[in-house]
Amino acid sequence: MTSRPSALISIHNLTIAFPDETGERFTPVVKDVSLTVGRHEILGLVGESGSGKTQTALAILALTRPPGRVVGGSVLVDGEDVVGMDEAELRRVRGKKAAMIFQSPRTSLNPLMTIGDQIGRVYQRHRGLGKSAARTASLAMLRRVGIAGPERVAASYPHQLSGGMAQRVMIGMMVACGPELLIADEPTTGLDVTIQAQIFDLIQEVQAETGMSVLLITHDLGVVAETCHRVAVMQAGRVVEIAPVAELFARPRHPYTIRLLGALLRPDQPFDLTRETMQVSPETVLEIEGRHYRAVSVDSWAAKGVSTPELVEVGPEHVVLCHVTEVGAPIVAGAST
Amino acid sequence: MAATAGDVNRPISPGSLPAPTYEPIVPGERSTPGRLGWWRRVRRTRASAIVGFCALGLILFLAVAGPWISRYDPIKPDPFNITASPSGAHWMGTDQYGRDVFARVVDAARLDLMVAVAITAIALTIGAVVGGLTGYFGGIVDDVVMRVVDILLSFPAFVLAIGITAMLGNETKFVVIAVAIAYTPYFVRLVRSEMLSLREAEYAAAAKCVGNRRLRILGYHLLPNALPPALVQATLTLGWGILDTAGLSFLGVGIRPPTAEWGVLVSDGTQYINSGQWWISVFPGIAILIAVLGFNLVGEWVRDAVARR
Repeated sequence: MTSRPSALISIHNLTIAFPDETGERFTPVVKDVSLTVGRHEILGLVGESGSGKTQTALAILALTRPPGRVVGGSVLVDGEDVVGMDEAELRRVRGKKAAMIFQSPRTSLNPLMTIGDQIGRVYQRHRGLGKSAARTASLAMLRRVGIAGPERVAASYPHQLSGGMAQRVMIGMMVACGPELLIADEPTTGLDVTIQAQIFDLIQEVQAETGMSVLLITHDLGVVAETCHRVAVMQAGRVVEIAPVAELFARPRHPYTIRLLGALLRPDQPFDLTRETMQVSPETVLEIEGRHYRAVSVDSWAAKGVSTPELVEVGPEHVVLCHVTEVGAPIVAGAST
Repeated sequence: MAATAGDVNRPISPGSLPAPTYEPIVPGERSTPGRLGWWRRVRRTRASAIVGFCALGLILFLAVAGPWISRYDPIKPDPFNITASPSGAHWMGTDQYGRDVFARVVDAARLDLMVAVAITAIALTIGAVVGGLTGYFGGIVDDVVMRVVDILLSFPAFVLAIGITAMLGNETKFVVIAVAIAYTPYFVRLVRSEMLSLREAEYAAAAKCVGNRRLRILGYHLLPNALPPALVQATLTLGWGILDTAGLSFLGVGIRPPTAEWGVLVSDGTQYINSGQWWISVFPGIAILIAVLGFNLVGEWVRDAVARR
């Protein structure tokens, strides 16, 4: 399913690794990840810290920090593989095909330049506007992202903004580039709840207006349910489940997803640590035999000589990472590779 | 409070707490913008910084206005007026060739300031470019440059400058080059270390993700942010530059007589101090003192201003 030709971003078997201190042994932090972001789609990428969400997103812009590097797979952005592109080719992708906003908006802005200058430069460089036209466009964009008093904000420096304002500015600046994909890496970390909601609303609004795709990285499943069209769940460097939002929340298949959803506090259910869904250990994988899914331990599979897990289609647009046995072989047809 | 030390478990009732007292809020000086805003600023500046600025102002004034204040030629000897003591006609006396010491001190101020500025400009520019590039790109070039810097830093700057002038010859431009080379490693280190932390900054990543070139990110976004510590160093280097230039000239490996330069002037007078003609050496010495003190005090002020950012 990952090779839909119309997809804007299509990641195939991406593996990113970082070396240890000696620089000889590489430890993979993103393992064999395949996922797509369709046009005009908001894809949520969820998972715990260190599960490889940010690294996967950075790879789309080829921003993987050395000494880490992509050791396998491909990242097709609008049909072009950014893995192995040189700097000149990447400049055609960065900003134009995809742009990214980061966790801490205030440190994402140059402390020595005014907000107006920074957005204005984007208009000058990406849209080829003159100085005064760029300024007009910047003010309009600031107004668009909900900044009251754009003239005053345009003349301020980043340290004079609140976190929420700075993130609005960042969104405005990245949207000003006119990207086809906006990557938002936990855009509301450190903001209070009301501001968080406003920022997600803004991202949704801008998405609806411009028709760009959004890759939204977050911990917050509530946000995912409200904002996203599809969700990819990551655990320990692997994508374990991808499904449309309603499907994922209704029929989670992978034990990790079930646990993740089980950990969600809900007003209609008492929180119960002893609940069955909470008791699946992280090592469990999904075993498919015929049409039955059940969680088993990795060790039991290793004993049977089953190695790499694969993404298996279990429903419409719904794939789950699992080890496939001899018995379950027919289902391999739906796998991504 | 009423509670005693042994009474820790007693719940605190509101009545046992002292009533809060409030300082009346008086509109302070800060909140009233006025025409004398600059004067408040001066008053809030440290006294030592003001002294520093005054010292530099004095030297700068002499350097610029010198030719109009002094009626004498700083180079031309006057055989009828040798080693005259300070008087109304010769404010700082005359030297062994009858030249007016004040005219020479003032003329030297211009040369010394220009030399100091040139030294600092060269060291800062090379330091910023080399330090910026090596810090940002790293790799083998960084390793090589840093080893060269380590070697240069293992010599005292002044000794290094003596060696280089001895090699190049003692002309003013070579003195500038020598002292600049001696101070460049400090700037390289400083800018590089700053750049090492800045290259991980998120705005560098943000700039990259909207499609900026690496050199543009380095030069336009990161270098200006890496410079403040180097500017503090630069202010101090202006002072040390004067000291080293004068030192080289005093030792005879720097700028040569009869050019008026503070180190040369001090050196000129050394043979006459014992015979009582103290003014030939002392006045240029005081000029060096004022200039270097000025740069150091202002340098301290700049350092604090940068730290406050």
